[in-house]
Amino acid sequence: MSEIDPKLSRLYREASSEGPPAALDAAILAAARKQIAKPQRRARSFWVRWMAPASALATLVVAVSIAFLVERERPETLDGTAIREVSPRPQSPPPAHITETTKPKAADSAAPAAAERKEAPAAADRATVEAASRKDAPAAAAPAARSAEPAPPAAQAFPAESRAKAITPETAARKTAAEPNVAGDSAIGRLGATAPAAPAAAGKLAPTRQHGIQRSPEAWLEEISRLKREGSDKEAAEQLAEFRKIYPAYAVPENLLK
Amino acid sequence: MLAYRNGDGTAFDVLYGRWRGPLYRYFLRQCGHSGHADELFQDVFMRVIGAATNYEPTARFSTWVFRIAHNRLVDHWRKLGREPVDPLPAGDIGDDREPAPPGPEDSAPDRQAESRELGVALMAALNELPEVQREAFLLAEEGGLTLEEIASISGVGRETIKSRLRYATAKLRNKLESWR
Repeated sequence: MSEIDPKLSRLYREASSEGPPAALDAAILAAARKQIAKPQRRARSFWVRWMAPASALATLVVAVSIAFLVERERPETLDGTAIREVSPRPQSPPPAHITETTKPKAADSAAPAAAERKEAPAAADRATVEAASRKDAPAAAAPAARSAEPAPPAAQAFPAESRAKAITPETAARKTAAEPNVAGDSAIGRLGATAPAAPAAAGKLAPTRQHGIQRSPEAWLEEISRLKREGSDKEAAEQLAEFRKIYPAYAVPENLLK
Repeated sequence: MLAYRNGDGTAFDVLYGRWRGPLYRYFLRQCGHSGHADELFQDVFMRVIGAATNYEPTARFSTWVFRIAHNRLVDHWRKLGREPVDPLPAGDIGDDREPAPPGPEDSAPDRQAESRELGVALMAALNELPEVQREAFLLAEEGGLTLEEIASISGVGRETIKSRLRYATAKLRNKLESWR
């Protein structure tokens, strides 16, 4: 620096040799090392301090997640009674009159009120079968069937099928006599040119579907399960296939899928 | 200092070894009392250590540490009820005139440089300087700071520092003239 005489500067440096005491040096150097050691200790203590809470939190999160998953899976796999919300249904329930006409075949599971409504057609069926077995005039059952008014709208719902099933009382009687197992259907066909055919058509088209319609999914699954327990695997498989058509989104228990 | 901030303890040893003498003498010359010098010196280095984690090299380390020292010294003076007095007349800043008396040029200090008494006389002359002039001299000699750095630390203009240094040098040479 030009403002200071170089010789004066040299003289000053030669004369200046003072320094801090050794104790002061030691104290400052010790403080410096302590300061260096602090951050490392702080970092370790931070990890040690948060390790336990972090572990507890992680365990809690895992436990809650597992519990939540189990809670969600339980209705489908264990209980089988809870219904997963199904939207929209692939097939809306048929009109009430179809259900009514098919009730006689599923009387065991029908509601009491519906069963009452079915008393008349059922009586007509029984009368028809009896008449056919006795070789009586088939017309004898017709008035009774007409008086029972077995849901004419069914014919409107399935006009083509009604026409196909529209047979004369005589042929129906002969058919009934020859095939007693389908007497109900045939007898219903004798009830009228249009109306009596509906129950028979509905019954032949999708009997298992009607099961599904009339029963709740749980009851239906219970029925399928019962069939499997009884060894009717084929029928159970059919029922299950039908069930899955109607309730494609319903969680079927795994034991039924095997 | 950066190495020390990053955890290198030996870096501070080097740093301390480099600046312990200049900083201590800065306080010793300014206070004239070793006890105060010890206290201030230790306090400054403690501040340096404490500020190491946030240290950013915005200036030379010498500038930074002597700025801390200057501030600490000002606090010390205020605590004692003293204020550094600038003996320069108002408006006498940046005067490039050679202060009188110029003295007998370079030969006198050079001749007597080896004399211990001359060194003692220099220290005595330094002690008689006004505080601001002495500080400028010490910052230049001990810190090796430039005019701009000294001006920044002292909070005055560069020309003011230049003038203070010239006055200080002239007074020292004048005092040492009697030793010729």
